[in-house]
Amino acid sequence: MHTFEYFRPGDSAAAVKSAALAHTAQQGADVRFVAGGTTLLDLMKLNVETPTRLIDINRLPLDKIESTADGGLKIGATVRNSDLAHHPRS
Amino acid sequence: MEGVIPVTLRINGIDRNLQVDPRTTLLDCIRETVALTGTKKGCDHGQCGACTVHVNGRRVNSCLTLALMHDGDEITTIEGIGTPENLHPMQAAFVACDGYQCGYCTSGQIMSAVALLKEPCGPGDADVKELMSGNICRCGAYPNIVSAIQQVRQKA
Repeated sequence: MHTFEYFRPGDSAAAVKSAALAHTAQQGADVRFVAGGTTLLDLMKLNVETPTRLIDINRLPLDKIESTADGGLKIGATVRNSDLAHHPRS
Repeated sequence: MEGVIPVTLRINGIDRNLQVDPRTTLLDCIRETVALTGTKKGCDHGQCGACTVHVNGRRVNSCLTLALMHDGDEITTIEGIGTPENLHPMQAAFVACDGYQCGYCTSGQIMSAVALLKEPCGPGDADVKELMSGNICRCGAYPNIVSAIQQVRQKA
């Protein structure tokens, strides 16, 4: 795995600002958000993803599953898959 | 050492002030840095569940998360749930039901099973199998693993 700079932003605005330093959001981006990490860390181990900066959003308040006015669901970026699977609306 | 980052992990109730390379997975940190080798490395890709530990009471694959993401977090490993003289009920049930053959996946199976007890899980064997589907046993001890978990759930 290539090394990287680790950053834990204090709020979503700081996270977005930090991510905006990357020129692309496509595969191989310089800056990556890490939430669960299931896919990203696996690909970093294989050197498929080689971010130079990792933005850890796990402490941000993004773990809510909310119903929207039009009958949909808004799923936060740090909602765990098991919580989603157990959600009454899923 | 260059490039290391200080991190404090509370592992099995003991605060560990560590210096880790940012690339260190929680699994490697537990095994290599803290020298608690009960947690096993199977695939190192999140597919087998041998590395399952609890982070703040929830089960996670420790191979797919970085140690420095857990500064201040409460980590529980197989060493933290029971002792040879005083087994956790799940450990005792695995022994009673012969829920293993080679034993390599067992610490992950048990950590997963202990976490399952607090999760919304239906009463049937099929429900247990679904919630244990992240833990692979190459020896095929699945029927006895399910029996062990159901035994603990029925006593609870």
